[in-house]
Amino acid sequence: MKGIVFTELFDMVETHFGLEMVQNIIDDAQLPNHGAYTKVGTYDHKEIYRLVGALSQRTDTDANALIKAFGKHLLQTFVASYPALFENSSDSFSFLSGVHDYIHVEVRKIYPDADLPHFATIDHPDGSMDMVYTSSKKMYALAEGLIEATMEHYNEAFRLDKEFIEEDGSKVRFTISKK
Amino acid sequence: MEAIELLEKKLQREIAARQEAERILEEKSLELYQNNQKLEQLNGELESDLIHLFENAVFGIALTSNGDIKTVNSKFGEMMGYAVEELKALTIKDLTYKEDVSKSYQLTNALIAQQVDQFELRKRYRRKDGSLFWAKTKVSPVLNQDGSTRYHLAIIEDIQFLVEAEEKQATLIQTLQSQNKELDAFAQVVSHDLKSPLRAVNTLVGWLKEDHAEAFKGEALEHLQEIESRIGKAFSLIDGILEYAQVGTENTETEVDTKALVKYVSEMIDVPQQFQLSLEGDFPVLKIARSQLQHIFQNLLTNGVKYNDKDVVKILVKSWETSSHYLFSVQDNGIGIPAKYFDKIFTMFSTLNEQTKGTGVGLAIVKKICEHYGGTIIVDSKEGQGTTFTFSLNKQHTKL
Repeated sequence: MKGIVFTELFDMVETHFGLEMVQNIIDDAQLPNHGAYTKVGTYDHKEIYRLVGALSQRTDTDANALIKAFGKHLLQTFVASYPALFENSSDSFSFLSGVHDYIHVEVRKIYPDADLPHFATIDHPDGSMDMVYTSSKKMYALAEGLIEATMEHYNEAFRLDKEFIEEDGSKVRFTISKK
Repeated sequence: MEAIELLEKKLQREIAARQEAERILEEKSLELYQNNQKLEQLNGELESDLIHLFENAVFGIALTSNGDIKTVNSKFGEMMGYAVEELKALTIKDLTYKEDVSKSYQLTNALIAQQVDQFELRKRYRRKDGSLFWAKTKVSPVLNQDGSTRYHLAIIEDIQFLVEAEEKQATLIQTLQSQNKELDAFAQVVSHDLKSPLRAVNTLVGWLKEDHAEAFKGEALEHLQEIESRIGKAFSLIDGILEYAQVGTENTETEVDTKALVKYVSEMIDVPQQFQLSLEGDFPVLKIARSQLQHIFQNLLTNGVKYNDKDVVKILVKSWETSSHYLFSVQDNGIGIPAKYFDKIFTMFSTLNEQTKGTGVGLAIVKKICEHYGGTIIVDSKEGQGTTFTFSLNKQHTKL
């Protein structure tokens, strides 16, 4: 998993819960590098589960709710760091449909070893769109947060339904309808 | 935990992360450097391959931009009689013969306007010493990644001696055509001029026989009749010459069923009471001037019957083919021809028999027709037993 996910998680935790919480979850998770993450590095994705698990216990909050909130935070970071990616699309659907075929392709050029989730989008005649998340990392909640934040970024009212195609969360269908 | 302790730990994390980032960046930099080295090496190899190709090409190569010469290979320098460096200071217009400049301009403009993808033209270049040569020039654009034209690539092939050969050939064909016409007219005139006095002699002999019947009797009458017969032969000779001259001038080639043609000819000629004609083999249908092929068979069959002393005249016509030719043979059981005459019989005005049943033109015409269709004719014979003529026609000239 790319280092930016870890550094951004710490940023979010520090903002919402303070620096002590960051130190606590690093200690709880017993990380091999003691939390010294850099954006340009690549790390074992299990470490993010351990950190989120620790945060969940310490804050008594559902882990998936935390991951979703983190997805929203991450998208705002993306908007700030890579505005061009968003300016190229005029609305949320065109941005989301380009994630897999355009953005991920570019990401792979810079990080050939990046292990990215698969996103398939299907346009429906009624104007809604399906986005099917597939990843062995089962971080569909992160995808959910990213999608919601995208809709908000484009200032579009929407309804988001999710359906587990695989019960373990490795394949989840999101149906987005604009209101 | 004290705030200061937390900050210290954060600082330690940040320092460790920075060191990790530096390590990664150094690793990546090294990777980039090595990749760059590899690319440079590949690029160098590619460049040397291209230069080799450029310099050793059998054609002249010039890269131009808006008509200015950017670079040329040494072959083009050699063709133009300039040093490569001298050419770089010139434009294509400087090297083009003035009459061909506008043609070259028009095409280049069409290329610039992207109305055409490439063009090819024949034009004359002017060497440093002022001499001209014809060349085939093929020009195509070399594009930048954004689709704009980087330069034009011209490949120049010296075709001077091809053009000269073409000119020579055209002159030759023209000369031949006019000579053929003259010859044709000549044959017509000759036959007319020769026939007129003959016709007059014939008429005079007729008058002598009619008006002076009393005076011409016995041997004298026989002489007059001999004169008439010789005049008749002279007429046939003149017609033969005319026919010989016209072989190949007839262009109406049609589908001819050779088997049906042989049968038709055998019914047309005078045959004795006891006559047997047999056909053997696969007779093709050809694309040929019917009258000419008919002439061949008519001549060969007539010869087979005419020069025959047997009670039962037998003629066997065979047909077969090779990969390149159709072949036919006409075999008779006649008096035969001595081997020493095998060549002579195909020349004009040769008859072997002094009593002369023919004019001596027929086989010469047959030979000429065969040769016109890319074939030939040969003869084989045994005196007293018979003669076989075998002739061929090239498939390229006669195939449907």
